Amino acid sequence: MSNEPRPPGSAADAERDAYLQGALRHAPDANLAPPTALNEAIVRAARGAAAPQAAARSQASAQRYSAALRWLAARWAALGQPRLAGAVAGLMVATLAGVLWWGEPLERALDAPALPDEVRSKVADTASTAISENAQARRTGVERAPAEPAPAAALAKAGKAATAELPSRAPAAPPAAQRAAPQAEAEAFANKKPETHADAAAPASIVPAPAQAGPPVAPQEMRAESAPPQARAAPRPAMAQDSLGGTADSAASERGIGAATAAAPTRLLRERSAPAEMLADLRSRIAAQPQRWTWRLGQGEARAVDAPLLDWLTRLEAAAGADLQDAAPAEALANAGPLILHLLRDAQLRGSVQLGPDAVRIVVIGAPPQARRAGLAPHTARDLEEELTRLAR
Amino acid sequence: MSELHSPSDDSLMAAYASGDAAAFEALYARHRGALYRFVRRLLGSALGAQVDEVFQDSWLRVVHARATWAPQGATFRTWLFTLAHHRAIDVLRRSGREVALDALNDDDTDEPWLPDAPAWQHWPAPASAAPQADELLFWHRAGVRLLQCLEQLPVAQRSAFLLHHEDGLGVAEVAQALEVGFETAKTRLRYAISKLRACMGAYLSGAELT
Repeated sequence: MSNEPRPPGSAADAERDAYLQGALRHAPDANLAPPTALNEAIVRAARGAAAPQAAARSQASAQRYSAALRWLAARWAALGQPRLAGAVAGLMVATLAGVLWWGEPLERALDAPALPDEVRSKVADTASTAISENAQARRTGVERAPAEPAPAAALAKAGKAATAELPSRAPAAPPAAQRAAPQAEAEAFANKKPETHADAAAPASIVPAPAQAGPPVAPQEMRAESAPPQARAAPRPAMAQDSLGGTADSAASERGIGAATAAAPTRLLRERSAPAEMLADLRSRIAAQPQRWTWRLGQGEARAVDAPLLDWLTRLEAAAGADLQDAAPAEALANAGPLILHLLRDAQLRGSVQLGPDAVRIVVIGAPPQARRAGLAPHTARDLEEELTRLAR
Repeated sequence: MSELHSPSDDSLMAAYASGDAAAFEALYARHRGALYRFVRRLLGSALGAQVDEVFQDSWLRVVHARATWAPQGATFRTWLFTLAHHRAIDVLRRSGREVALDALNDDDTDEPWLPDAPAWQHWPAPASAAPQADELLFWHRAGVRLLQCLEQLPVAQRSAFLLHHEDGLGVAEVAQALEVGFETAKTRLRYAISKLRACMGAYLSGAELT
């Protein structure tokens, strides 16, 4: 549109005349609008005309809704048939099992050490015998002597016997053994139940496996109850080694592969049910090979582990060891200061100790990572912090 | 900017056809002012009493035609003005004031069209430095004058001019609304502008404004 006026009769007549348009825009009736009553009358008529259609539309919607309800009711009634209900229940159980397995890291099963077939078969036989004996003993009411814990002790025994026939280099457990771990754990749980459960156990299928292997474990309370007292009270020879990511080094060789394999059914139980021992395990691992370990405070320079640091860890263990509880891996101490002790083995971060004003949080990086938390008396926390700061100077 | 995100006339009309009364209200609010002015200016001051009737009847036709309405090459706005134009012609015919719809035959003569009022002498320059109040006063007086000039135009040319200049329709849409050919609409528009310029005074000529 041009603001320039055009002479009449020119070729640009089809364009809008800016002057005429301006005059039209400023005409007295430029803001003329229909009266309110007329507006209401027209809108009312429009609403009245649309009302039947709106009603029909809502009725059709209601019919669709009721049809959907009827369809759902029919399906629900069909679920009452045993065959269909069984199928649905089976599907739900399969789905639940799949979901439980979904979050389990694959490397836990793949990285587990393997055992030769001969060891596996021997351990399996011994474990089966031990479990059967245990079940028989319970059936007859005879308590097993504490010195002969079953099945964990029997498994350990079998493992040691098998290890004697092996080369000095510790082999790894086969995947089959890993898969059987939950079954062995279930056996331990079944031993606490009435006789019928013990009879139902299939000894031939039980093969111990390392702690890393296995499906999602039962809740902690159930595991603690299901573990035999001997297993719960047993020392932790190989767990710390594995959880710290170590290989079959000299310490593990001393304990022998038998201990590692025989304790497999109860390893998870001990690992999860005795968080208080984590700090002791960590300290013992450092003390066993101090030359491989270094430490640093925060982002400070790395220092070799020495006796004062081990003493400090001993003090920390004494102050918090008994109260260590599970903590979320990503959890950070509230109001925690910048004091974080990093523990490195072969220059790889293996653990950290985070001191707060009234608590300590310990993380051990292994498979799986563990995080524990314990409350501390404020003065104890302060003393530990001052001591650690002094060591770092 | 908000108009870009508002539903189109076609979608509102489709929604109303399916029973959504709120869609009609939105449609009505969007076009009622322009349509009312179009009807009012088309009928002129002599038939001002018929404006409400024509306006209401036009919208009622929209209501009744909602189920069969379909955009067939024309916009809803064009269709709406077509309905109003038809109703206004009916009223003009009934009143005996409209001489002929074919303005080309009756009005397009070579004789000069002389307005019955003296030409104005005070058209401001486009880039006038006059105070804003004075400009507003001038344009207000120009608007009054233009309405008088419009009533002297034949209805066919008047409607073409109003649709083109007031309601923003293109020449093709004007032709659709008036149900005439493109060239016919263009010719009517050209004559309307020519006569209005003459009616408004000789000050519209480019020579005097520059």
